Amino acid sequence: MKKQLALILLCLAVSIALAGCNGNYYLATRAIRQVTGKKMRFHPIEPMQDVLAAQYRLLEVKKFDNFMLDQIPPPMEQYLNDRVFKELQASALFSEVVRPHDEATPEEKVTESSKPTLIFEGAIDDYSPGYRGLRYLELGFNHVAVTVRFQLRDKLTGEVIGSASITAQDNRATGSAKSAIDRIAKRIDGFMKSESRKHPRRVAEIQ
Amino acid sequence: MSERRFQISLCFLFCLLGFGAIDLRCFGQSKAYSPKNGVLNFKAIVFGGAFRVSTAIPLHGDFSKFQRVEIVRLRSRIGNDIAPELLNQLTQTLRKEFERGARFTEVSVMDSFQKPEPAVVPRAKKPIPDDFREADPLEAPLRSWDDLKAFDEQRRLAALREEREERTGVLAVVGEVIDYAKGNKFLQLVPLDLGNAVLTVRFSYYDMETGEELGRQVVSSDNSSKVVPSVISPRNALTGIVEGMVDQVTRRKVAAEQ
Repeated sequence: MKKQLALILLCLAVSIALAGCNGNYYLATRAIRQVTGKKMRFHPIEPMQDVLAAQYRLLEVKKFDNFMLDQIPPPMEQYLNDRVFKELQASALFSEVVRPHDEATPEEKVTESSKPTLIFEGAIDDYSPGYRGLRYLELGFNHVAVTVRFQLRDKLTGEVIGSASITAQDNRATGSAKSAIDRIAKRIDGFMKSESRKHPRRVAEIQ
Repeated sequence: MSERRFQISLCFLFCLLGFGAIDLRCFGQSKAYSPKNGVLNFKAIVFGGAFRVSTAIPLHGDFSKFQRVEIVRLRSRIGNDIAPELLNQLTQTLRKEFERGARFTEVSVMDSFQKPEPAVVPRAKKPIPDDFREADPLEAPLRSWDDLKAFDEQRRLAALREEREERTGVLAVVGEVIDYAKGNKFLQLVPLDLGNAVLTVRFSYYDMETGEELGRQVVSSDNSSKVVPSVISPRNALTGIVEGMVDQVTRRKVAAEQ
């Protein structure tokens, strides 16, 4: 902790020196970046079809495929999968949110259901923890970036109901990959909810 | 006194020019390649176009054997959020950058990518019979069904061999855009990382002879700059991507050749 604090202070000192000893300028830009540094880009790939909430009661959340392989540490990959699963579980859109039978832990396992099921699946397209030191110095290509792509698919027919890609970027000196993942999970949930709000009749049907 | 000062300055200037000329000559003669650091470099701080390369599969294999590069037209993984014109521009800029580097004898753009099948027949160890090429004498009896089937197999293997020989020394580059933001040129005038254009592409490299994936990288770039606003800067996110990707291949090839 002390080491981290010392590093932060050192970075601050160097950046102030580099900014021509103009501490006010550095503090002002740092403060603005702290406010505006959280960025999110959402790319709809296939628009959500009208059937989302009407037909499905059960959502099966698969683990993300990892295209970045060793670039993403296994605990972080696990965190992403868990975070998205919990976020979807907490939303009231589906009466049941489960893991696929082969991925579920013993306590998560449920009996195979005959209910119409929607599969949530996707891939980790990009992961970069960035460079915290450079973020303090406000130099270089230093930001955190996490990109995931997901799709919703009918389990029975295989038809893709909708898909999108989300990138969370963090330019803040205090930003971390975990906070980017948190925002992605919330955005996925927000996307599902906003699609349902477009069809209030169906939401009522679920409730 | 002032005349002496003038003479000294003139001497100094000539010395500088002389050293400069020697340096330029040396630079022109040698083809030494210096790898680029995209995350933090002076050019990017001044003009923008910094980049990062995240390597999922490290580039491996003998890159010195590659004489041709086939760039497969870049595809979008983010739907219609990136214009086809921009994808085409990115593909063409990649081609031009490879040509400018002059490390490959031929650089071409392909419309699609078909991963070659892995080797089925070991080359050179067991020559494939070419009986099917020889015409039978007119008086010879008709061949049996089994003979015809054997000829078909010979034809298939010969075609495969020819195709593989054609594909020797070809490196295929497959790119997919996984993130893009157009940015806002007015907001970019405020040097606070607001309204930056961002482009992220995943590249896979394939040996077209064996079909092996030789590497996979994500290259990301933006147009944030500290000095020259992006409206008038010659560098942008696209420049960063091209520079980053070509640098990765070139440094690997140069290292293999040495």
